[in-house]
Amino acid sequence: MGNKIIAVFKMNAKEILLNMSMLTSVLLPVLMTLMFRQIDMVEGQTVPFIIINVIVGITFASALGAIVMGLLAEENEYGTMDHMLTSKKEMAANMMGKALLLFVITFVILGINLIIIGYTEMLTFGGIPSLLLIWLFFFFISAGFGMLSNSVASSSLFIMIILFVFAMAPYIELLIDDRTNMLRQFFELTPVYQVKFIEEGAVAVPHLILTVWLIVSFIFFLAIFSRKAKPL
Amino acid sequence: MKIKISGIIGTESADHIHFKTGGTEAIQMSFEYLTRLEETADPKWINVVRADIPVYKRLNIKDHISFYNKWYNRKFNVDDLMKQFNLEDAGKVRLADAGDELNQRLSFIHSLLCEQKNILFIEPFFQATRENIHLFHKLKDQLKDQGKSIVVAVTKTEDAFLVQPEIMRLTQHGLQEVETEDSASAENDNQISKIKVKAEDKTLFVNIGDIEYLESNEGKVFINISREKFVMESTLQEAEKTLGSHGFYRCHRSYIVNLHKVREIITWSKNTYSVVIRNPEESKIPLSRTKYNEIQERLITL
Repeated sequence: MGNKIIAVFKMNAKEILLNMSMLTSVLLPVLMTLMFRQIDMVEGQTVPFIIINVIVGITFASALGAIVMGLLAEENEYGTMDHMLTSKKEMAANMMGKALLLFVITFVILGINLIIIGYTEMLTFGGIPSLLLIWLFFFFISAGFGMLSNSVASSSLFIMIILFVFAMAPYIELLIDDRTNMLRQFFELTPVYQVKFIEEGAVAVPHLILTVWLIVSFIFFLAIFSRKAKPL
Repeated sequence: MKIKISGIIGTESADHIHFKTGGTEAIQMSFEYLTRLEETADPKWINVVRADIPVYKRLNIKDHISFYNKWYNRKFNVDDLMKQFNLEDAGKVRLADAGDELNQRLSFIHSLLCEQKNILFIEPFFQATRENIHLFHKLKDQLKDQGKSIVVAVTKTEDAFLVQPEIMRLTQHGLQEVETEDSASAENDNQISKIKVKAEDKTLFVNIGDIEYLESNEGKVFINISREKFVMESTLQEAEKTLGSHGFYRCHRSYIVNLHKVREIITWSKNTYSVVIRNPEESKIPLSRTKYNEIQERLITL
């Protein structure tokens, strides 16, 4: 099992480096952060937390979600792994290889972004559990969508959902002022938004909400995984 | 490991395709049966080797071999494998630019490294280069040494004979052995220049000199002339009598070849030979072991 995880890790790492679209997805959050940093320097003020929150969301959506979806969608489109996967265990190894690689990539990119923007408090003991929960949520939801995609093109729709519904959720504050609005209330419950509440001092409720999202995404992932593994 | 024939031919049959440890079976069948066989093969137990193995197009050949080696936890030396399959200079070639020949070699390497003990080759000689046919024979020996069992499924009889002299045929009646004993040759010195053939509802008269080879398949005799096939209304033995004096030679129980069109003879393995026809496809016609010396004499004195 370990050898298979390492094999997928190495193979997918090379694939990401050689695939311009994937490499762009990895580097895009860093470029956006540099851009936001530039704005901050011009105005001479600190970056509003909403921007930091969105940067965190986009890092998870782009450097993790888009990549895992792209890798799985391409495997489905060309059947590159189908002839290698003969059991559930091997399918799991394929997922774990990807998870390991994307764990490293996401947190390296997130670390770089938070350093650029000057907000490293999130990488402390208090912030790490929420980031881990968000990472797991994004991995499971994206891997589920990736397994559903028959081609790279069809995964674009799912990437949009991840990006606009989950990654950019904090922007809802700018669009809807009314806190009683149902749509705003929904967005306030999304995983990335919980980072804001944690920053404001709340601990139990945001972590509970994140755990619920994680359970939902894991059930979704498991359902798609089992359906795909059925013929094996 | 065995596959029930009834699931492939769609009628009741007690026959099975057997994967025998260290053994090789070459089976000729229709394209329809071939497709069903491919679908029936359980990937858990059988590794299906197609010429176009799915690959990561952006990665190179060496990356793929390293990936297979790691995934299957094999301890092969990747450079040695590349050398064995004549890929030393192709290691850095991206699969998007590799072409069918290199892709097929990669599929050969995959069959060598995979975990399954049973290997099913689907049309391994379809548009295969001569180099790859040689590599297939080397691979066959290596798979045998590993104790793996091989079944080669092809649509053309002559392709089945490229594997070994003993072949099987899968028809609606089940799995039958194709006889490979040689019948006595017949001589006839008649001096005709054309023969009558059928093409759908037309009767044509073709120049004997244009014929490349004749083959017998399921009771019919087919004449092959530059990519076209015609039915001849006679047996192969009668055709041999008629054409014997025109430089035609019965090189195999099921084949008569025009010696004037023979380009060369290839030895694939100890008992497997082919006569290569001088045509754009370089058609490879099976040559019986017992005819190997005789055909050479006939070609010299032609």
